[in-house]
Amino acid sequence: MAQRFSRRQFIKLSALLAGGAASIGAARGQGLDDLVRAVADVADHRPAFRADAQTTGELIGPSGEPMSHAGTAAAVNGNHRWVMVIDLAKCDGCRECTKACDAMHYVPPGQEWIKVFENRDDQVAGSYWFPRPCMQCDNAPCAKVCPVGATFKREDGIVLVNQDRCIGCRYCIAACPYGARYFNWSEPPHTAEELAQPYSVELNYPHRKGVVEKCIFCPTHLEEGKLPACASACRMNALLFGDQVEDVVFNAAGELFSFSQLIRDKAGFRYMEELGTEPRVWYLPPRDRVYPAPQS
Amino acid sequence: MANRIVQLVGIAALALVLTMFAQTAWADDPPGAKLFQTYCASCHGEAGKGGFGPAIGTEKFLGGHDDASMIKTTSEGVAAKGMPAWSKANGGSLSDDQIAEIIAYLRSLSPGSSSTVATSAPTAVPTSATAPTVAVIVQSRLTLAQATGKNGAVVLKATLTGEDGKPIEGAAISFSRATSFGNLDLGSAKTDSQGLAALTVAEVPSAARQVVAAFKGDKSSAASKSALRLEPSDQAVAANGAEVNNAQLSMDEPLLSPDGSLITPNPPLVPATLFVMVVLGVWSIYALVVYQLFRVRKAGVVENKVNTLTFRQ
Amino acid sequence: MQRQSAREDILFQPLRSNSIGFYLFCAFLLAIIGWAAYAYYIQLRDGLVVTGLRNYIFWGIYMTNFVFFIGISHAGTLISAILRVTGAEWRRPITRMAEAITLFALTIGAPMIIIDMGHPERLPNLLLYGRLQSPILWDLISVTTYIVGSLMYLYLPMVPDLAECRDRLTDAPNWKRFVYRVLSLGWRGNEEQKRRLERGVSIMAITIIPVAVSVHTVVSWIFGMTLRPGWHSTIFGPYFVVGAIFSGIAALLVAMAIFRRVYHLESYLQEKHFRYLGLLLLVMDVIYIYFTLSEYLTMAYGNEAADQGVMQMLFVGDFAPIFWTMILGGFVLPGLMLALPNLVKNPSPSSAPLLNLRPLAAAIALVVIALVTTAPGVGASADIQMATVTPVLRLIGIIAAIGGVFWVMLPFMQAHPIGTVVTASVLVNIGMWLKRYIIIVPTLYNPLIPIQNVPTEWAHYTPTWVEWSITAGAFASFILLYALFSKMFPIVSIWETSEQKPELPAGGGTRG
Repeated sequence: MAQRFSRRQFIKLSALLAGGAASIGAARGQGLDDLVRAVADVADHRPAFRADAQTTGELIGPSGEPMSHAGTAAAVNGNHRWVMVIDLAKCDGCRECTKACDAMHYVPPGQEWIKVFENRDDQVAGSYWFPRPCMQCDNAPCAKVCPVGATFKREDGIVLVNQDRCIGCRYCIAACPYGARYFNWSEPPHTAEELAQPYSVELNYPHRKGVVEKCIFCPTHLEEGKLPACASACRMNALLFGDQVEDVVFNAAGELFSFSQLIRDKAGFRYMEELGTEPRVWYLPPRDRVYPAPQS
Repeated sequence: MANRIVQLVGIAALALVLTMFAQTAWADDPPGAKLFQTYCASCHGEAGKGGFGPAIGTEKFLGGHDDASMIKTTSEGVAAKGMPAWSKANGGSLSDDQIAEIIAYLRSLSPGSSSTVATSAPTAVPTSATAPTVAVIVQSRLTLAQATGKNGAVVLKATLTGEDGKPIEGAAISFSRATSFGNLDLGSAKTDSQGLAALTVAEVPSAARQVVAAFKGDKSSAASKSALRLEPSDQAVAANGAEVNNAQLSMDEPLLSPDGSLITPNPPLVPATLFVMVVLGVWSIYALVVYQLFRVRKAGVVENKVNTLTFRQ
Repeated sequence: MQRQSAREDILFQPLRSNSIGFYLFCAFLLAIIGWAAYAYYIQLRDGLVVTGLRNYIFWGIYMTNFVFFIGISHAGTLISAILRVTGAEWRRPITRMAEAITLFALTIGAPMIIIDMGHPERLPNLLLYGRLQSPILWDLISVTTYIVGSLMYLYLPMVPDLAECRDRLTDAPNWKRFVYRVLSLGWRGNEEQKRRLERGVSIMAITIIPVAVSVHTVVSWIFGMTLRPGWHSTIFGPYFVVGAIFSGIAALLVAMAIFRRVYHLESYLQEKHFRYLGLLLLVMDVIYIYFTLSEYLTMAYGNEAADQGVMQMLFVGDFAPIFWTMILGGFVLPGLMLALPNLVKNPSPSSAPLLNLRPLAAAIALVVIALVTTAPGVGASADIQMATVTPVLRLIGIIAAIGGVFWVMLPFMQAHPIGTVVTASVLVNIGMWLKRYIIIVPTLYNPLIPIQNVPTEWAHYTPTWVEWSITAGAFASFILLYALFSKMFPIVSIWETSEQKPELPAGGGTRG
């Protein structure tokens, strides 16, 4: 595993720094088989992020318990790959989604985990509303550049931020082409309900100073079979959410659609597909709009 | 793996406790009840109220499944869901008669589901309020099968028959797909003179799908429902016994693979190894230089000693 | 031999006694550092909100300082290692200074990243959970390697000098003598010691060159590996390396001038050293201008939507003043100052009376430049022809004015070659600091999804007093470390300068 691998390597580097004798001692302590295993782990391409009870910053489940990593994958033929579909023809720019998200996650002021832009592709074309959540990219640039694995990609497609581990270097913000990540520049204002919850990566709160956070598709809602806060608040039913494995998305009105059919029939697309980030958010083009176009 | 073992031990313990509780009820109950308590209750709960396995003693379930499908499921099992195959023909411990007794017992739990009383399914008689006289409503049976159509497309074939086995013609059969979020409508078709309604599914599914055919019932026939598991391959496995609705999303299972891994990509092996080798190479050169310094010191010390000796002499 | 010893005494002078001025200087620097420490305390207490950084412009002058210091750290490598490997004899008096710049610039530069972090106390996470595919890890590994390497490379050639200190500074305080005794490794200058040391120095001189190149390449990759306009560029690695060497030489020239003046090292740091290094600086300047042109022309010509915003901001928008100051003041002007005195002959003595009028002419030329560059904007003009002609006239005016200034200043520059080179170096350093700022900040003003609907302070970056204080503290720490080093160890390598046949001190003012 690369993380252990590089840690070992760093131990070696610092040992060398301290002096040759210490280095020899460290190397002897580790043993050859350990090293072989480390190399083999890298060969497996196994992810660097592994919860480790002995280290701080392990994954914490929704109710504060260490999250189980020993799931029975064999039984999980229905494992989920969450997708969001945003119908630009329906979004009227009311920003109820942003408000619902703020309320659900106690989002610190100024941050908009789902931000509604007014897009205009060129001067001739009209403008349209463009809600931008975190795209939960499959080839997430943020997860790639994170030096400590605080940002990681989960198998259900969600990109999470472990704020117990984040060092606040903001490199992920630099890497994200969508501007979906936010940094807490100061201690965020807290509410009693927010502080009553133990911190979990799946809630992203209580918020802390000096770490990065973002939209996480409301995993706690998904657990209950509910829509993420933004989608359930969308009165235009423009936000659809679902599971790519089950090939279904649904909206706040409870309408179900076949995800693949919907994307195919309405020529869905992903924003900045050319960057190769493989987002998990699809957009349906803003044609035959059901609201007046933005005036500006 | 550890979780799996804990789970199994838990199920076993549960089974034991339930069996002990059930002792008292044995004397009066029909033979199927004993068998059910012995073999089924550990998973499906006492009187089939549900537990680790789906609730199969409820009206809702019994109304949606006919005896044949239940017998089939019991005999052959549902490997994907952990339901063993019970019939001796399939390596189980129950004879066909015993299975039939268990089914009969289940039917007795919800008498309406197997009788001709219309109240078993309120939706079955949508026109009953306006009908001046109560018509005789017979139980209907719906079976669902999978066939391959043009270009490998999946065709769902639902056959609707009355209790007497005669096909029911002109009934609207609606097809839907069961998902974690509810049923996704696939379309509907009317039965022909053979009682057959067919629907071509737009695409071959990439993963296992649960499809449901439903007959809402009409003036003369009660509602019925049948489910089928479409496998990504051509083999369709009948899964009539499986719980169709309200599959809850569970947090602890699907999210992480067994080694607790997340799919954040790692650097490929070859560049990473090269990188580490280069870094270690540079540091080895440093070590070499530090060694030169050690030798410089050693040479100095030796000379000092020589000087001292010379001085004394 | 007697003369040689007297000459070397100059080198030991700073080590023997400290003037009151030195203590005052240190106190002044410590005051700045203390103030910066207070600013950092404020930042730790309240979070990075006390900086001008916000969510869109999230990296600012801390990162600028980081890149700048890593940049000037390249002085030591190039001068010392490359010149040593190529056997350039004139390098001897300046190697120690250059290597010390490397070490201290790294010591100050690397922590700038930590100051920029939201959770500096979690730095060990980099070792505990470090992930090899993150450029920050590459940076960490590379900079650590470089710091250790440059420390060794500074120390190795110093061993004989330390022995010299041990033997000659017998009246030094005990702790100093202890340091000299321990660090000199029992150096007696016998054959084996010489052989071993020379082997060590040669190995390090070769090893440190690729390490140094890798450091600045990796620093550039922090930016280059993202998908942002203005950063995602293949040229960034070499571009940063050249820039680093460029600013490193400039920093070294400034340091040389200061030491020459303060420690009276005129007999060691002669005019020819400034002239040679000045030429090297000129070469790097030209290469850097070439890289800059290549980078911006490619971006501007392709004119991708994402790049347009950055280009517009740099050439005519909010950053145009900084950009053109950097181009003209930081690159072109120093280039001319370094090149012209070597190209044009001394004016004939007959024109001497005219020379006295040259300052006046220079002033007039400057006024012309000012007038031309601040003339009413052409964009407002309705006259198409004027709109196209005016910029050309303005350009010609600027070139003519600069040419005039140089024509006027040339005799003075030729009369004061050291002053000219050092002035150019100062300009280069300012220009390169601005350049790093220009690389980092305008790109952040232009995210791929343009900034919309945010508080004004989110969309604009102005460094706050905290950032300036910490920046001042960083520079003060650098100077303090350097000054203390020069008080503790001979700043010119004694054995290397005496190894070569000493030259007679050249007469002041004439070209050596």
